[in-house]
Amino acid sequence: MTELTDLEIVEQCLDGNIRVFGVLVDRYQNVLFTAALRMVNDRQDAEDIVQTAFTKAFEKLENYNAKYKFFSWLYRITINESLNFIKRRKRQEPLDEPVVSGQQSPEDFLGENERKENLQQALMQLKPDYRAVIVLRHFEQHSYQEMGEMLNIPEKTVKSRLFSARQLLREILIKNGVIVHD
Amino acid sequence: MIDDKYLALMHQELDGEITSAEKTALDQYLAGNAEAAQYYKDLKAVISNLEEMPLEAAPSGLKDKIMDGLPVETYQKADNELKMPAASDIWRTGWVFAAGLAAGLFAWGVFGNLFPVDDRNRQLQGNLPGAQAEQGLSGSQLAIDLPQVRGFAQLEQRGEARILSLYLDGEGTVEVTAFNPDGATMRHFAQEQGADLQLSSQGGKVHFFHQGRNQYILSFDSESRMEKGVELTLHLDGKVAFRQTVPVN
Repeated sequence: MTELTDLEIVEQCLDGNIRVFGVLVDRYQNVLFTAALRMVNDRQDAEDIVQTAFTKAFEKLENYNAKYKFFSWLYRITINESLNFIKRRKRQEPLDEPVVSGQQSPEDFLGENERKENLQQALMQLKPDYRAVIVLRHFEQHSYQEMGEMLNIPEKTVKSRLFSARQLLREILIKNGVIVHD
Repeated sequence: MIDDKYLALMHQELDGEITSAEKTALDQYLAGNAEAAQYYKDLKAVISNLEEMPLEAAPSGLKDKIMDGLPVETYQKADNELKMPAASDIWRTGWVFAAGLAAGLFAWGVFGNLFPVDDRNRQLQGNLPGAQAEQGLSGSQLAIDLPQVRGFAQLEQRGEARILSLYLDGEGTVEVTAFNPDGATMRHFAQEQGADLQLSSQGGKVHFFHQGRNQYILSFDSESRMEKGVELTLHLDGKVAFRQTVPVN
């Protein structure tokens, strides 16, 4: 027996079978929550973003174009919702100053949790637009073209942001001792 | 000093978007430039660190919040049709009464035709929950005994149709799929109580969501061979909690 495809679920929702939408929530809530968390670095905010993203997707199901993967469409909504959230938050209150520790020596050992925290903090030091391309590329392996479509920017801009973002991350991670030279 | 051209090629290589000619040129450049080679190694470390970041589990109550917050009226056309402009209580009562009467007549018309009183529905009375509790499971009935859901399923030849009787009683939402591997299509469907059921049927597969206690009666195409019975699957919280074949009695 095969499970319902995303498209079959969308069609059922449009026919009024609302509860089946829960299957899509089960299927994608973790990956979308992770993406939102990487973008905003706050579990409660990430939860709100994912809820809003699913609600918006539900409201716009009639506009969903089946030639694109449903998951990509949902992921795009989540990333854009995260960017909108960051813009709103920026207007409301200043962001905390980024936490950058001083140069660490190779002897400093980073445990797994510390490494994860360091990476998340490094992501938070990037501009949101840079963070978005990193999340799209390295957490979901989207191509340059897909990222361009998702963020509504030219492929050239995608590349430029991605390259700059990675170079900045390199510098931050060296400073924080996550990347250590021999 | 690293040439910008090769810097771009490093990124393209890491994204798998480099041609073989460009790759050769990059390899030669890295072999002759220690600073560039170290930079490239750093970029690879950046990426591997990012991609090793774990998937985070969504908070346990998130799904309920999402489902509870959905604007369900968006796609519930039947409900919208019952909406009416502001009116006095008397008019409103009249509308509700008329709608109820129409719904009753509709249900009588539909189910009266699908399950004539002297036919299948009456024949199935012996399988209804009350009788079930008194009689216990017969040999041909498949027991469903999960921590959250209990019940039984039975597949029988009734007149010209093959009927799957399914009784479920439990907590939470259960996603139910009944599938006939022989490809028999389900023609009719009825439930003993409750009116909030949404159902889909494609080929030999029926799919719906169950809550609380209910009896379902599914009639499969009588002309199809159903030697393989019906594969019944119950999903709880998105995971398969029960999957067994209900044999033809």
